[in-house]
Amino acid sequence: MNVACPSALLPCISVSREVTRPLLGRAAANGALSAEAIDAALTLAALRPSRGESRDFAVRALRFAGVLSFAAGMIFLVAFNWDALALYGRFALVELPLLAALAFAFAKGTDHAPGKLALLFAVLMTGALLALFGQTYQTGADLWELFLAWAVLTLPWAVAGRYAPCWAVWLMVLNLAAALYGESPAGWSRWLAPFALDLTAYLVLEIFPVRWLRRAVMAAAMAFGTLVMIGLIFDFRGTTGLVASLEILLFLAASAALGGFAYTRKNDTFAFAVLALAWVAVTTSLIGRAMERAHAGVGSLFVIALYVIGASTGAIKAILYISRHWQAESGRQ
Amino acid sequence: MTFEELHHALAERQLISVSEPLVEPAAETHASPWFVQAFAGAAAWIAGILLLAFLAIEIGDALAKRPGGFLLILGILCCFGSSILYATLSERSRFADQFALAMSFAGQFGIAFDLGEHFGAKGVLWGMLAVEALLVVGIGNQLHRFLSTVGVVLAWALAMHQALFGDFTKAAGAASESGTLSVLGWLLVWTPVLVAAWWLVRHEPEWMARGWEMRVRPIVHGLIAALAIAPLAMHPVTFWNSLLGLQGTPTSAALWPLLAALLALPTIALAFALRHRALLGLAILFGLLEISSFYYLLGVSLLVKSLLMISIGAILFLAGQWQQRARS
Repeated sequence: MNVACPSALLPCISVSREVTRPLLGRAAANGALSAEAIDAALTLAALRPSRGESRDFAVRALRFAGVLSFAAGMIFLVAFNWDALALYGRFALVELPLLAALAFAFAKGTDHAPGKLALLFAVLMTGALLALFGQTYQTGADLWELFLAWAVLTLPWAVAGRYAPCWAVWLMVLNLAAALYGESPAGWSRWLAPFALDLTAYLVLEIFPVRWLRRAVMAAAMAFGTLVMIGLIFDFRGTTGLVASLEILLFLAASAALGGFAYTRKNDTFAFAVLALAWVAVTTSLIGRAMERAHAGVGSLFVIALYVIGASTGAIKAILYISRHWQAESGRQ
Repeated sequence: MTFEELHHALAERQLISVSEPLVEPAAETHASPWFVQAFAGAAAWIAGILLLAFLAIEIGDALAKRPGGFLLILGILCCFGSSILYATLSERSRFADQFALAMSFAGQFGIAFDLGEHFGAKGVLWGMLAVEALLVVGIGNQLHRFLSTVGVVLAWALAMHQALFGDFTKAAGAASESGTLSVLGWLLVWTPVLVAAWWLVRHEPEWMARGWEMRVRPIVHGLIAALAIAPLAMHPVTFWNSLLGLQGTPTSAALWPLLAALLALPTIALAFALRHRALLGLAILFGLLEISSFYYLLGVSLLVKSLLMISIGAILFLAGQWQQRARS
């Protein structure tokens, strides 16, 4: 089936593409399809969820929302700080549901949703248990240590669960630990730790087939990296020369590595959009700061606006070019 | 499924003639995934603010000497210029596309500022409702139409809130006076939006068959995105109060996020029906935000809140189990 040349720079190829809603809509615009035919096409091409899929989705959503609400309720219960309950009673309130969840996951196995959700519940309850422990015994530990302990203790369950939402919760806990560490007197750069952490997590998550989690981690990494760079440009933190050099180096290396990695993988242009946004933000801050120092006046606003438009245009063109290039390559293969 | 396979399947069902080929459309040179559109929108939004700031400061002296309405005229000119750019150059030039979006944002900000200065909050809200509706009709670019649709719903929600409950900046509005009135008012605002989105999703094959894909699709997506995001507009201050931990929000204001969280359910269903993951994620995210806001504002003890969450959690989980059993 013929496809028009996607770009003057690329050769024309013959490829039959997957039916998508926009493509079907454009095919229908030629008048070739009646409403009944489109109705059938939406079902045949699985562009509309079947009754069974809708039910599965509802079941998953109900279970997931149920576990989240139950776990949040248990955490609130601990936070209520019962005076009426004795020490053992308070711990039992958290530990019994935690043990029950682990026993349930062990009995049911972690290949199916109930077992996975039980482990997610256990991960959340461990946080409540550690908070209760810290509250009761006044351990004097920093907050970041609590979150780090939470992440370390629950790692085996996250591994056993092989469940993307559970990994997402676990990574959020670890990110909080890293961010709080950066903020603490012991930390030497606020956002560097979560930046480095998410970059590492992104590499590890390559073994995962869940695209949304990889994308989220990658976006979080570059968001932290961008914050690091903007902080340096506007000198918010008075960072020392060595740390600043390390931060810049890491941002440059991460951008190059992520871009190169995405380009060789040839399966997702999301990384380019994130990198483009990060770089537009950083370079715009740099230009703004330079113009402010040079007392460039009001005209600088216009220049920066034009720069933002120009840079984002260039980035979008590049992303779409790469996307079409990949399509053409896969068509040739 | 490829177009070729679809053609066979439709021909088998006698929904298309065997001899009549199903022409696969040419590659869309301007089609871009949602994250690229989000990036384009964010960049244009920043550029739009900078452009308007530049224009406002640069012509500030002239503005001070001229009669009222100068910024309004400037805004209208920006929007008009943007529509011309879209109509003439944007198909050929990405830069023109981005510049037109930024110009349109600058124009909209300008119009809103001027209306606010001369007619107050009521003028801005109803005026922007009309402006956004005009932009939905007048500018055919898909991203712009999507954003304008969100703008229409946002302006509609705020304008109606202001009309029904008075000053929309008040923490709770009439929620503290009459729960029934609040619910009725809320339904008056959101029922038309929800019904419109539902109707368009339900009649999708009909408007697709008429060749309205490019015209209607961004409106459908805009309505669903607005149903996810814009309920915040019905309780702007209560939401931020709860998020930032500010004091002084009455507990009756918890009604707003509760209603908004309930609205997230059909919104999620609509996004799922279109298999649109970005919209689905947006609806879930904002639904969770509304639920957090509800619990924060609920003026009961932590014990009651926790028991409520545990009970609801148990009910939801059991309902899920029951559904699964019924299925299998």
